[in-house]
Amino acid sequence: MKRIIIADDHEIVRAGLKQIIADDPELSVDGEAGDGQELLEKLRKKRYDVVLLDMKMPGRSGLEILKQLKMEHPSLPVLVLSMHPEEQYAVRTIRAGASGYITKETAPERLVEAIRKVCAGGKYISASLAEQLADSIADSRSKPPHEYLTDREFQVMCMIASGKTITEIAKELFLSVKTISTYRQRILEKMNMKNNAELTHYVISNNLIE
Amino acid sequence: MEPTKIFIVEDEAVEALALTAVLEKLGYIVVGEALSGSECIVKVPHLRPDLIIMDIKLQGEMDGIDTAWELRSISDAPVIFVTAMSDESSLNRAKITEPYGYIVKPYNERELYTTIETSLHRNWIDRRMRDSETKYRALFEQSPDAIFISSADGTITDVNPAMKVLAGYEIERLKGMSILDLFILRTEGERLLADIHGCDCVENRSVRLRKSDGTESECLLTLTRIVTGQGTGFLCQGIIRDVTVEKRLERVRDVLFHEKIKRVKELNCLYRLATISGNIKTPLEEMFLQTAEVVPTAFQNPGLVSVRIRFDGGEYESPKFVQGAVSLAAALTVFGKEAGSIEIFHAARPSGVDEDVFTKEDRDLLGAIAERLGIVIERKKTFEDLAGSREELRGLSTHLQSLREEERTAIAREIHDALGQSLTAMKLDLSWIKNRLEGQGELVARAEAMGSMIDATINTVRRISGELRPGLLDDIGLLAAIEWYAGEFEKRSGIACRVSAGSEEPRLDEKVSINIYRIVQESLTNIIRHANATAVDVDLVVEADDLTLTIRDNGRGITGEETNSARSLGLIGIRERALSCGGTIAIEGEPGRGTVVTAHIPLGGNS
Repeated sequence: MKRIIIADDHEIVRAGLKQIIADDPELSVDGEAGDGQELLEKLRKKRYDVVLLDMKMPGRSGLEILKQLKMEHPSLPVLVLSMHPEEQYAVRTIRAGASGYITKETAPERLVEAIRKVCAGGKYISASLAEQLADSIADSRSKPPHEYLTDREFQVMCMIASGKTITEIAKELFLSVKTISTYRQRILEKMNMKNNAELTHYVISNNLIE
Repeated sequence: MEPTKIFIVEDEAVEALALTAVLEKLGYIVVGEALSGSECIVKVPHLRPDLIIMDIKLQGEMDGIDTAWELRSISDAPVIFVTAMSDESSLNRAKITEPYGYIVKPYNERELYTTIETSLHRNWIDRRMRDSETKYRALFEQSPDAIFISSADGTITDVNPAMKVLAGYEIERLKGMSILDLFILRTEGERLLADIHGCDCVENRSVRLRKSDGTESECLLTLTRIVTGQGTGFLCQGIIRDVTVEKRLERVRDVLFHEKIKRVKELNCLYRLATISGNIKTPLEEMFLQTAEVVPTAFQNPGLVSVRIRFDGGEYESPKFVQGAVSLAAALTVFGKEAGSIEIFHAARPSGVDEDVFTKEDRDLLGAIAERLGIVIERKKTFEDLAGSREELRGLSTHLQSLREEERTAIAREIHDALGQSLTAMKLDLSWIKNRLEGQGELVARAEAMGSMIDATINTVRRISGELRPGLLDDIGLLAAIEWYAGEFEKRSGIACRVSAGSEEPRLDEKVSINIYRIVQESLTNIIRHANATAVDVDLVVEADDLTLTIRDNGRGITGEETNSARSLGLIGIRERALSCGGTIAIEGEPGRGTVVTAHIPLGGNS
């Protein structure tokens, strides 16, 4: 029996969710919270197996609550419920430590499946979201990856490839070292590469600089 | 040296011959002889002798004395009389002709020589005397300066024609008058006469004289003692130069010079005032104080002048202000109404009853300054009003903007939360019902159709709310919201839109976030409408205390005209948004190469 706590500020939504969950004998809703603060307090008092967290509640944003929650209970799986189908939400919540992201739209059909999956230590994203992410990957495959860099990112990549250090680049572009480091990370991410050597190799073999 | 030429007048031929012999022996040349007086008168002018030896007793109508008298007018050669006996009456007659000597017959060679030489020498001296006398006389007569000769007590004995002009009396009338009678102040003349007793010369004494017709003249008088041979007294020669005109000119020149200096000072003052009032940013109070400090410099003696400006209940005084006895005031007229005054105080009282410390020019100057101040105040007021109303408008616009944002946020939240959550709950309930309708195909199909409808409604709600205010902005942050909007933009327009950032999701003030988001939105809308671009880069860099947003497209490039057009409401909106966050915005286009919008927002250190 998995003990679930639901955090959502709308009682009718909590009621609806409980009904859906109640259909599965393996799952039981053991606690409810109307906002982030209440949720954190309840988690400190009692042990739960999984958290259903509404993205949007009064007070602190869902993302902040999620971060704090993961700090206090690093191994507690959190399934984020959201009204928003946009990938920006999903990517950031997963990055912030959520085990799954499910839109309320798909919840009636997929909620139970999602809860089970995250309880077992897995990750869950809805099919439509997976499709969106896949789309963007597929899209980026149709062109050489450097075409997806912005001017600034491209400029920084070429500078890295020409052997300049992050500090030198920062100085030249009147930006901080931290900023350039972030650019570098984003470039590596977009280019799907691991280090400067790979970047340099790519730049030179594609004749991107003289 | 040429030998002396001698002419002999002797009626006795033998005597003449003997005399000639003696004279030639002494080294003289006898140029001619005459036996009678009339012959002598005829010959002398042609022969031009240096000396004439004349026998007193001559045959004919004229004796030697008569002849000598006649000769005086045709020759200046000295005449020596020769006589056999010293006849008292003849000698007395001869004296009148001023002869140079007498020789008594028979001749003594030595006596003859001495007498001739002495006569020649005396004649030479006389001639020189006569020359200088003539010269002096000419000078005396023709001198433009008035000259008089007087006795030591001032009685005039001689005057020149210029003196007649100067004094206005006939020459004859002047002779015998006392010089003191010409002085306006008799004591002035008496002092002069007293002074000349103690020295030889009083030079260029300034005196004031009165003409016969009563006109006064200013003169320079030089009085010189002339020591005369006869008597114990002395004569004075006075030279008077009338300098009335010169003095008058000098005074005019002084006045003009003075005026010129004053004008220069006034000009200088006005120039400084123009500089002070030219700076539209100087506050009025500051301008009044500076003006009060500068105005005294236009006056002859700035130390004696104080200035006070009254305006709008305030008083502005020049440094070391002294409320002097004499003052001059002018009103400050602003927008047709008297709004204050400028007063000038002079520490010194006027010396005369009629005299005024302040001249007409001073009043004009003050009037000009007051007028100028009035204009400047008007201009400043207008400028301040304008700046103020601009500021108010901007404030109002910012306020309206934020009100609008608040309202949108509220509506978006209301729609999203209330409607969205209710729909979600409905969907959940519907799903629960559906699960309990197994086998009842028609009902299940109905429930599914209802579910789809609810989904569509949720989507609509989400879209409307997102348009009003992107939830991402508040839930996650600016960067996420921009990324989402860029994605939507790309889908809608087909223009590739890439977003890069210099950092992870930055923590920003809600006001900055929404304004930057709206700037991105507005810029991207402009790109769809006008740029004809195929790609856009959005770059967001948040450093410690500064945010830089760059939106770069590859379109046709905005023109300077479009940038500055008052009709570019979108651009004005962008500018206002940047401004309301205390930032700046630059919109630059390059023909055919695209447009770059760059916003800089200071973050006040809380990144």
